[in-house]
Amino acid sequence: MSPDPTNDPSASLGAIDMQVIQGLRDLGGDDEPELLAELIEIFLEDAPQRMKDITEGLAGGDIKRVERGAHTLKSSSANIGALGLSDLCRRIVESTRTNRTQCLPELCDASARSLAEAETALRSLRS
Amino acid sequence: MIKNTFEEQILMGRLPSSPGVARLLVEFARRESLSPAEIASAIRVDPALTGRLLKRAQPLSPASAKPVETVEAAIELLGPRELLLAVRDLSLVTDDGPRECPNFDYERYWATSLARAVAMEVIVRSTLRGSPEAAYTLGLLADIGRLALASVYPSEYSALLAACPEGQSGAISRLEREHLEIDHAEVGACLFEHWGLRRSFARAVCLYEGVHAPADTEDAEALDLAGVLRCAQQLAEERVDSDDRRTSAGADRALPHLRDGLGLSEEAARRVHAEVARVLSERIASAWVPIGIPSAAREDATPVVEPDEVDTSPRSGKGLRILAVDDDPTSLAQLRRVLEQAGHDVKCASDGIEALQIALQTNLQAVVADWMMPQMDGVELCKALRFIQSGREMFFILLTGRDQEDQVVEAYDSGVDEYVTKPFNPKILLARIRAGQRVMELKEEVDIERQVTAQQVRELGLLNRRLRTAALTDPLTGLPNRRCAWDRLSEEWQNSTRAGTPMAVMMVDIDTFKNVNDRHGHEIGDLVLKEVAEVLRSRARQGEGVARLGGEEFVVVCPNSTATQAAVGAERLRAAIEGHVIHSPGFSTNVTVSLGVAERTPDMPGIDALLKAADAAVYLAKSAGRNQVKVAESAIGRELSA
Repeated sequence: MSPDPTNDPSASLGAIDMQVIQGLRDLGGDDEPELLAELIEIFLEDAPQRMKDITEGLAGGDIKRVERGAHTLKSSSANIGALGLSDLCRRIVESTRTNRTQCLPELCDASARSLAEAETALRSLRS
Repeated sequence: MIKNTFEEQILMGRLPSSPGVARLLVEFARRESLSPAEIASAIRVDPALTGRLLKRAQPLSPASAKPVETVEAAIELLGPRELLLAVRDLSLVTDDGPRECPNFDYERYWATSLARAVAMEVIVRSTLRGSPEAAYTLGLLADIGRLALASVYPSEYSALLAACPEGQSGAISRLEREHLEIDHAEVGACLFEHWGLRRSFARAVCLYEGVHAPADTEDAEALDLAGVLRCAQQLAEERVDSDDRRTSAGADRALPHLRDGLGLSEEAARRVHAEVARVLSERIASAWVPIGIPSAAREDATPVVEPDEVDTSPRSGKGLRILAVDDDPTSLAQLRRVLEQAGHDVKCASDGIEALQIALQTNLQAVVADWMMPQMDGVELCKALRFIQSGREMFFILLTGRDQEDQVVEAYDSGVDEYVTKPFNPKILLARIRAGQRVMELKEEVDIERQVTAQQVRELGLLNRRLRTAALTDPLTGLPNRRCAWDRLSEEWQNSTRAGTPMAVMMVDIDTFKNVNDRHGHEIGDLVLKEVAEVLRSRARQGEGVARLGGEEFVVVCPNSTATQAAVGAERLRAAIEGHVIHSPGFSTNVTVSLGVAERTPDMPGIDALLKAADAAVYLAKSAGRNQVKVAESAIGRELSA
C-alpha cells in the first residue's frame, strides 16, 4: 500500500505538483477549508475553454487566439499545480510570439493530453 | 456680493457628472487623437461638462461674435490640440462625481436635463424661434442651480429636500432662500454668467419657474425663452415620469402647455409633442450615449453604488480597499483569497473595462492587476486610472509573466508603482502591498485634512453669510432692513449718477394699519406685515430691491427705471396686495397700500431728497383716498419737459 498521496506533500500525483496543492490548502486554512475544492472547480470549468481557444485557434489559423488561450492557461495551470501543462503552454506562447508555428500542432496535442491527465488527478483530489 | 461668494464656493466644490459620461471621458483621455463628433455627443448630454467646456472656449471667441453657446461650436474653436487638453482636464474633474446629497435624485436630474434639452431644441426648431442648438444648451443647463446646491451644501440641501412639501412649485425655492440665503434659480443665473452665456439665457433661467418676477419687461427674448423652458420642463417631466413607471400614464399632460403657453394650434402642439418623443428615443437608442433616461437601458448598466455603500472613511485596522483584476478565474480567486486573508477589503474584476467601472464608482486605495488581459490590459488600465483624480493616488501593482520582465520599464512609465511576477508568491505580493500601504496612509491623512478644510471653508462661508444677513435683515418679515436698504440705495445712486441711467424708488405704506393693530391686536398686525412683505418680495421685478424701513413702511428700489416704468410696477404691486386675502383664525381680510414713486433728478443732492420726493407722493396718494399710486411731481415735470 502506498501512502495516501493527497496527504504527502512531497508526492506528485502524476500531473499535479503536491507542494502547490499543499500551499493552496494552507492558504484556505481553517476558516476557508473549501478553498482548494473551489479553485479546482474553477480550473476544471475554465481550462477546457482555454484549450478550445488553443485547438480551434490552431485549426482556424487564428494564432492570436492560440496565444491568448495558452497565456491564460499557462498561469492558471501553474496556480493549481499542473506545472507540466503550464510549461507546455509557455512554449506555445513563445512559439506564437516568435512565429515558429510549425511546432504548434505537436505542442497543442501534448498540452491537451497533459490537461486530460491534470483533470483526472484534480478530480481525484477533490473527492 | 452674496453671488460672488457663492460662485467661489461652487468653483471649489465640484459638480458631479453622470458616471457613464465620466467613464467615456476617461477613455477618450487615453487616446492620442479624438473624433470631435464623438466628444461632442458625450459632453452634450452632461450639464456640468457642457458648462465647463463652454467656459473654456469663451476666450477664443472673436470679440465681436456672440458668446459660445453650443458644445459643437466650442469644440470647433478649441481645435484638436486644445480639445485633447480640455478633455484630459475635464476627465480629471469629472471622475466618480461625489454624490453626497442623499435626498437628491441624481439619475432623475440627469435624465430630466437631457429630456428638457431635447425638448427645447425641438420646440425652438419647429416654431422658428432662433438657434435650436443654443436652445438645447439652455435646456440642458436650466436646472444647474439645484445640482450646484446639492454639491456645495450636500447635507443641508438634503434636509431641505426632505422637508419640502411635494408638488408645491416654489416651495423648495422658499426653503433655499430661508436656509441658504440664495435659491437655485439665482445660483443657475450666476453660473450662466460665469460660463459666459448670454444674459437673456440667465434671465430666462431665473424666470421660468415663476419664482422670480421679471425685472425688465423689455427683455422679450428672456420672457419668451422662459415660456419655452416651462413647456420643455413639462415635456421632460412627463417623459421621465412615464419612463420611471414604465407606463404611459400621465402622458400628454404637457400638451396644454404647448397649446396655451406657446399659442400653438392643437395639431401643431401634437406634432411638437411627438417630435420630442421621437428625437429623445433616437438619442437614447443611438447606443453609446451612456446617459440613462431611467428606462430599460438602465438595467444593463452597472449598478450605481449608493453613496452610503461607498466607504470613504479610513479603515479601522490595517486593511486596504483593493481591486483585484485578472481575466483568469483561478488566479483571480487565489488573489482574492490571499488579499482577504491579509485583512484587505477586496473587490474583483475580470478585465480592464470592468475594473475601470468599479474604480469610478468605489473609493479604492490599491489595484492589483494582471498585465495580459483582452480588451484593456493592465498597463492600459493603469494609464486610464492615472487620468482620473482618485485614480492618480491608487497604489498600482502589476502582475507580470516571467517572460515579460524585460518590458517592465514600459509599465513603470505608465504609472505602475510595483510589479510582481506570476505565479505570484503570496508573501512577496503582501510585502509589496504593505510598502505601498504606508504611502497610502500618508496620502489619506493629507486627504482627510484637505476635505475637512474644504468643509470648514464652506461652513464658514455659510456662517458669514448668515451673520451678514442677520445684521441686515428685518427679523419679522425677513426682508432687508433700513440699513441694508440704505446700502443698496447708495450703490444704485452711484451707478445711476455715474452711468447716467435712470433710477426710481417706490415708497409703500399700508393703509389704516393703526386700525388693524387697534382692532385685532399686534399678532394680527405682525401677520399683516409679514404677508404684505411676502407679496412685495415675490411680486417685485427681478433686480428690484424690497426692504422694510420700519413700522408699516416699505421701500422698493428700482434700478434702470424711469418714474413711469416704476409706476407701472407699483400699480401691479398695489393690485396684488389688494387681491391678497390674509387668513388667520377669526380673521380674514385684505389690506390696501398707498404707493409713492419718485425718480432721481439731476438737481437732487442725495438719496434723502429722492426718498423725500417719494414720501411726498405717498402723502398725495393717501390724501387722494388711499389704495393708489402717485408719482412725485418733480419727476412728472422732468419727463414732460424732456
